Amino acid sequence: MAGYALMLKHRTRAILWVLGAMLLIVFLVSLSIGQVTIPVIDLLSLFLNKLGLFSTYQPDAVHEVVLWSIRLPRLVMTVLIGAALALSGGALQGLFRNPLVEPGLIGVSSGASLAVVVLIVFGASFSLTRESISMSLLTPFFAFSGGLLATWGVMKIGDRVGRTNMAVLILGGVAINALAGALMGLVIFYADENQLRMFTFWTLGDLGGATWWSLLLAAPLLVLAIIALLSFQVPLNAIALGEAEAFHMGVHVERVKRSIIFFTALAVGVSVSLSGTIGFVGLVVPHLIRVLFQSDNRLVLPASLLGGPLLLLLADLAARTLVAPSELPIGVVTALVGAPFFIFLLVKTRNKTELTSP
Amino acid sequence: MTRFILSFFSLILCFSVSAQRVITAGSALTETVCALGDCSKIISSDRTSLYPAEIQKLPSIGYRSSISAEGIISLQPTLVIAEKDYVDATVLSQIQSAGVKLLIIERVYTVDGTKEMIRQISQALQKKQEGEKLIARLEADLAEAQALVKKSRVTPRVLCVFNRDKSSLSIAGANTFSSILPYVGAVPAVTGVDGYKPLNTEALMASQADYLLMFESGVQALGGIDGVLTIPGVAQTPAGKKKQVLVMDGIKLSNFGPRFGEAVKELARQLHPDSKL
Repeated sequence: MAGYALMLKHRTRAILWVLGAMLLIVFLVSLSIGQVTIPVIDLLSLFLNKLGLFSTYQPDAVHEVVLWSIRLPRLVMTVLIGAALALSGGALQGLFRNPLVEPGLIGVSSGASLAVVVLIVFGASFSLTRESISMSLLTPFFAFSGGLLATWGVMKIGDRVGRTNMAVLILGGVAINALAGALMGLVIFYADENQLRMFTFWTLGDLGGATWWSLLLAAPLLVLAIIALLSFQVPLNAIALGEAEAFHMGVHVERVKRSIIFFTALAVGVSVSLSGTIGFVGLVVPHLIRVLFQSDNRLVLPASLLGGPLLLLLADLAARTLVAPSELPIGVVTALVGAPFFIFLLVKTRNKTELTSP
Repeated sequence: MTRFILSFFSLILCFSVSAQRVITAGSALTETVCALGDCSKIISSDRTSLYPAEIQKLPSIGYRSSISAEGIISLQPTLVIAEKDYVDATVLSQIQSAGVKLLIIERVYTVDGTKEMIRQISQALQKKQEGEKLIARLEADLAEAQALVKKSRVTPRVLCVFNRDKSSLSIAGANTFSSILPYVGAVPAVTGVDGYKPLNTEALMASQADYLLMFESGVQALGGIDGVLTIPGVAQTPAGKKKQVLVMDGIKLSNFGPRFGEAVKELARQLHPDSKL
């Protein structure tokens, strides 16, 4: 028995190491490949120069700008968002003990979208968005507040005398999503062509807007949410047995529920505010891990943390290069890359897989 | 030897002339660059730039948020001309930080706006003279149209209709190509509509429009003028009864670009057949 547990532990560690190595390789490749190809020697010397190390080789000035002010912030943001989305999905699926749960269910995405469409359509009448600079600052702020507000609403609906009723919470999420959808439709009715296009593209997701400034605000929040969510591996395994059982095992079920929902809202809200809604990652990455390996949350959560960025980096690489010099919307590519792979796995493992989370 | 030096210098000259590499983002901007005679300097353009047709053969930088800084930088342009609020502000500042000259043009859909755009672009391309010529021609066309309008005794009511296919027709209200109407001595048949709003039959009948003004592509999608006349409600308007449907190339009509004068002249002639020069 102890031997089996030890083997599992080794296996988990091995899987994480392999995923981590793959992530590192894809990250480095992504740094070099793009519409502008930065040769490896330029990459190296740019990094060495930055570290203050002596380097006789003078890299191309354009490469320097592309690397430091366009590509590196973009990749860092992609990694953070991929991790935040996949981890949120994994934690929520574990918490709800339901494989269909994704971050959208607790209302974050639709709340954020509603706030953004309101800003895009009516912002001008409140003279908020006359300058496009203030628009790019306000969009994240609106997305974040809208997402958090909607989640707070869902939590309130599910709250019954200090205890969270999961079934009511899910239905509350459905209701809030429907309400937000209807309100969005209403706002869109008043939108002109231009605003409609802006909103459509925003909902398809865009990682191109990353700057060090936007990261400075968002990265600490994302890292905080990611660390917090990672700490729930063991309680989530207990909850997988049932809430009552988890309670008797000494898990503060209520506290775990609230914390996970709060940190997911934070993670997804910040992500959506940076890049628009990017679907698929949160739903499917944890599934991929479970189908490929096992459904122990001690593996699923950290592996999602690595697998999410891996998928998103690959998707972004495709988005950046396939239609160069233009770019595909990232949300489209994540689904295009991930869905066929996911279907392939489902079909291949149809017989032996139990699709329920742990 | 002198011949060799001469040919060497002419080579350098050729090179420095062709060295200007321009990327445009915005249909009217592209059209203006071409009207100034610099079409060959454009190396890439956005997806809305469809005129002149040869532009469509160039690699496309995309459309709105799909326009990326890296994509533009990878084409090594020397000058990027972009419409304000069309390309993302972050993308623009990234392009600028890579040392590419940037000209941002705020589109104002009036004659003055068009002139200002032509001036800015001709200055950036060092084609001031050609720019002034374009403006002079624009003014001449407008003056000619104005003379026609003055002689005319009618002020026709025009309904601007926009459609891509058979199913979705919109009224083009304020801040669309209907802004051309004041220049051609006509009034909009429906007021109080901002932007493009779905066309409904009752509003169409109530408009009592004398003319419908539509894009060539839209009319084609409906199966020609006869198709337009079968839109429910059209038959009940004076426009439908007299079969008065004005058709014009969509880009020329809506761009407020270098061909704006041409468009105005063409429309004024059709709207005021009673006055002849």
